[in-house]
Amino acid sequence: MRSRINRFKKEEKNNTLNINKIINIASKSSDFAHINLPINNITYDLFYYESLIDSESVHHFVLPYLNQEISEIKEIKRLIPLVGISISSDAKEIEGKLLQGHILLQLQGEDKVVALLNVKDVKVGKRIYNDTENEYSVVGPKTGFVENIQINLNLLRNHIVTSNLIFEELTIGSTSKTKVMIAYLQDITNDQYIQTIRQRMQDIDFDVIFDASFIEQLISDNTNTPFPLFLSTERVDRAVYTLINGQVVIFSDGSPYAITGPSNLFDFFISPEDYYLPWVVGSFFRLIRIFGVFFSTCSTSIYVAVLTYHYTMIPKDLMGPLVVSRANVPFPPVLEVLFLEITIELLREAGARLPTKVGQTLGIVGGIVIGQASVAAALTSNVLLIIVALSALASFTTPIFKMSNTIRLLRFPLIILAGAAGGYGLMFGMTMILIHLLRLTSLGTPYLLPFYPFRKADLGDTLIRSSYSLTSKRASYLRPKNIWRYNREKARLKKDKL
Amino acid sequence: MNHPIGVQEKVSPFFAFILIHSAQTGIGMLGFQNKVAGSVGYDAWIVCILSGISINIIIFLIYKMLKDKNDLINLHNHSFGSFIGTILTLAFSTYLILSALIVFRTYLDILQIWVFPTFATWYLGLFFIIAIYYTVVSGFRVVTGICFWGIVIPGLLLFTIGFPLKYSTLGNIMPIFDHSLTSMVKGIKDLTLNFMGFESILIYYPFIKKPDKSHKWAQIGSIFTMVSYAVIMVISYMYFNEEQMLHALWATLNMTKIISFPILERFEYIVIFTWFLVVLPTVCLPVWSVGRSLEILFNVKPKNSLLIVSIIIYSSVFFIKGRISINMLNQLVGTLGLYFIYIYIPFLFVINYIKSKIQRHFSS
Amino acid sequence: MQWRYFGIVMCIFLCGCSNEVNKIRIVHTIGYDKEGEKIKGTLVSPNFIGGLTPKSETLTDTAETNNDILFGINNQSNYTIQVGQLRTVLFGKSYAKEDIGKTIRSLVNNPDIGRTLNLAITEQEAGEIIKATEKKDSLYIYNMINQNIKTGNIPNSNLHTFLCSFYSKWEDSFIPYLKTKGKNEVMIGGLTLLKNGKYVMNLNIDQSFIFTIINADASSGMHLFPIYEKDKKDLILLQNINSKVKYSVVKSKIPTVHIKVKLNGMIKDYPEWINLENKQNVQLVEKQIEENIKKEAEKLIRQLQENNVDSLGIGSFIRSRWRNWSLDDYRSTYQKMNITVNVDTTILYSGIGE
Repeated sequence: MRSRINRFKKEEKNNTLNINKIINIASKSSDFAHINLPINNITYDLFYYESLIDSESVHHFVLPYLNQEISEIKEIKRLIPLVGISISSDAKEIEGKLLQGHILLQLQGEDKVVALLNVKDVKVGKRIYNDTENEYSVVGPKTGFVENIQINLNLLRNHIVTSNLIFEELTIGSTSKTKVMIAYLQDITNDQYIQTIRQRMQDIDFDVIFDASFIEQLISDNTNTPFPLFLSTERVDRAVYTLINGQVVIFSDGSPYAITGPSNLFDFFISPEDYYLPWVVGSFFRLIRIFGVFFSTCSTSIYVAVLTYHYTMIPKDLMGPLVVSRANVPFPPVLEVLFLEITIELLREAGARLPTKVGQTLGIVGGIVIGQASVAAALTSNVLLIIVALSALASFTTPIFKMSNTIRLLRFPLIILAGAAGGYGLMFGMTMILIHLLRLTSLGTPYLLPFYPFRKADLGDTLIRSSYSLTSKRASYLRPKNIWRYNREKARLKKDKL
Repeated sequence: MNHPIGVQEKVSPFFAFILIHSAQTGIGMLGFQNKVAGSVGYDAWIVCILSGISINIIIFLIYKMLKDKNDLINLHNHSFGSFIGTILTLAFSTYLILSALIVFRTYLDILQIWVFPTFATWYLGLFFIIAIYYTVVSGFRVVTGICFWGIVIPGLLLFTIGFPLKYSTLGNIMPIFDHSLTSMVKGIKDLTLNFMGFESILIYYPFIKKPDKSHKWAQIGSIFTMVSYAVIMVISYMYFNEEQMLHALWATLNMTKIISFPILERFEYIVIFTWFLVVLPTVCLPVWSVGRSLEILFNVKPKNSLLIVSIIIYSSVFFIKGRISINMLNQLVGTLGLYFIYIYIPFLFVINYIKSKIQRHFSS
Repeated sequence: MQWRYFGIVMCIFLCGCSNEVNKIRIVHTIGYDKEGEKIKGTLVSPNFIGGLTPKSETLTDTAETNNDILFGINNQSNYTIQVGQLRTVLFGKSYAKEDIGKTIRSLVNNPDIGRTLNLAITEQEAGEIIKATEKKDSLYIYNMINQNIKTGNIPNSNLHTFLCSFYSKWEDSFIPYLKTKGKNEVMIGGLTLLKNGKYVMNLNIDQSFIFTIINADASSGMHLFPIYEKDKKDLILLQNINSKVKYSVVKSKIPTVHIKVKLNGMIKDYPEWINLENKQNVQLVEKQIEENIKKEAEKLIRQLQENNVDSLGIGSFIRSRWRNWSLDDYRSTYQKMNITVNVDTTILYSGIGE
């Protein structure tokens, strides 16, 4: 498993850069600008990428102040009223900062030491409003992360007001040089997870990192599994909750999704809405979600198995509708089911790419017309249509999109196995999934916690959401440094002594 | 020895309960009532309890032996020297392979008789052997996980016990102690096959964290098996009467035929399919133990040795055909198990004890 | 890599060995009759083409054994005959007089057959009963037997209860009994008692009520009881809400068995000269019902003893209480046993008046 990560391991490269070489290479690009300012006896040379800087800052804070002589480049800090001024002679750092929107200030062709002024334009081309698009909740705040990492860190610091919240910055990606932040609470999170993540990320050798999901796949324990091993979320409250529990959050610049680890299978069925509703209501809906997942995975396979091999299991009153609905269908149940399932997948894939104007109409066409027409043409049975539609619907009940993809994928092998060997094939398929889940670990913690290995104390927040007076301890499988979230007795105390 | 076990591979002491219980409950539970119908009849639940208590004593002996020796290979080498020890360990491995093989073949047989009469055995066996190989090659943790789920998920079937109880009469099992003591002792011999399976602990003992703490869990596991068998025996004999039991070859499955829900009729199919999860640990634990012993003895990677063992087990599909052969093999393995459990283990205990005493005497 | 795809494709197409639900002929009812030396089997299978309620289709064949009959009918059918959904098995009375055990054993040997199916003996030939219900749907007889078990005078009876008593040496069996009424109607006629799978005697509907309440705990059934007060005589209809029965035995050379019945009933029809709001009246009615049941029950049991058939399971009850009571003791003393019945009736409701 480690060998797969080594594929992306970095190799050391030689670099023989100096400042003039950097300027020569960059000059080939037409957005690389050069301002030459002769002031009295010295010449200031300003080099920058036009597309990256905020020209307002240059007009107001840089150019008007370059009107005096200075002897040493260090004195530029006195002249210019900017915060991010650094003096450097390291060619790599200079190149990196130039590409991040800094201005290179060279004093009279001085080759060794230059100043770098931070005038990066942070607002260009990125979303500022932050409604969550894909993780909607009816109650509760709807704030979500955006593509700009500074705003994201700002949002996080607003919710966790403690200096124990540590952000560690890394740069990953040889071409994209994406800024990646590891966030954790240092008095709670176990050091082992932070070290593992840090070490794995430092070993990555990849060219462009668009999104945190790339990082997730590069540092995950097992890349050959359809199950997501890190939870990815757009919502601020979910990220905050995972930090409180002792997990680690990873942000990537340019992506609104943060990934959190280590996670287990049951984390993917938790919706933040469960916490805003009373615990009885929240638990009930969580159970319905889990039932929906089972139903979605197995229902069509059960249909195939029962109708192909196990007709004896059908109750006498259900026999009529089933036989009548299949009366004229020319295919065996397996092919009928596969046909309908692939139709629904095509509908989903096409619907995701349709322009909005056409989407509505085609949705109706797909859903109603194709469904009704295929029943009328006796290509499928109407009982099956209901089952397939319901199971497609049920697969979207998982709050995390990545998991619903997995569930939709897992349906197909189960259908084929049910068609091959009936209930036995279905049982075999589910057992193989179970064995696969048992093998998975997320950052070293088993994926099926807290059911296997069985930890009674952690069961309070998996299938049901217990009341706040009972969740005063953190999940022990994350081995946090501090297990108490808040005082247990106080949580249980009745507030009014009436 | 030279194959250290990382902390990642070890399981906590509570799992000794699960490992012992899931290895013992295998294919026997589906049809063990019929074997004693002629001799012991409706007092068979007493025989279950007696059998279970004797197994508890054997487990106690095993724990005493393994306390400082860690596993059977060490034990053999220490008691008999390295050459004979290796041969004895190989014989033990063959015994484990045989017991896994017979469970494998019997389950396929039940599938063919009850559910799929027209399917080829090799086809059904292919699914089973793939699941077995995938489990044992993934390490001890995964095998324990399958044992755990093999108890939890089929345990949900227990909620349907009300249906057979509706048709049961307490009078069927009265008066108690109506059969002779000799038939009960003979009954113990017939029921041994159901309590076998726990011998793999001789190999996986070092994989349990704080092994001496796990002793009480192992005893509880065996008692739990004994209680489950006794309860099922009681309910079966209340549901069928003694003469009917002679005709019911797979009594548990016949009993579950009466369960029906508005949405689902023939419940025995669900029982047979869920039994896949019960039988899988019973086969996987011995096979994994064989892989581990071969790894220690001959330095073969488990990935390769287990492939060969799986092929041997799968080949039983071609060599054992028909109910008569399967019954004969069942009896053979039952007899082997009887000798191993009740004669060989106490014998090993005595030899080990004497040798330790001698060594201590010489070293002091 | 290609082998994996090949395997998947093969899996889809290996469905040749399947029992697709609309490519099989499901059997709902089978009737067996004696025809000379052979057995004639009549099969009812549903035809769903007309709509959701199945119409019956009947097929018959004659052969020596049960499975041979099914195979013979297979030759006449467009789809394979599958007996997994079998619900009712009927035996003609003349066939029952010989031995139904052979056919029962052949049926039970098949793993497809469930244990909740109903058995019944028919007064006329089973083929005639099936013919009388031809116009109705294929589950007509099954529904009729089952609803009578739930709310009629028939005790709980299915293949499992029959097998228990059939194999046991200490008791005999009973199953419901059907007869035709007119040309196109079928009705439940009561119970048939069988010994070793052979027909012994019939009980009519009224006797079946008594049998049901002394056999086991019951919660259904209606019976007319005569009541009289001074010089007025009339009938009262009592419905059984629930009843419990307890057996006890006095051990001696010829055992004595006491059957105690506790019956909670509801009065459905009663003459106008009885006022059931009056406590004394109610007690009078209860007492008369109790005496009547006691008389009828003891008469019924004596009939059973005369015919040497033990469908109440008295033998197996005594065996469970008395160690060392052997089969010979049972066989030699059954007909001479002294069996008494005591009833305790409580009338719970008697309607809303008006």
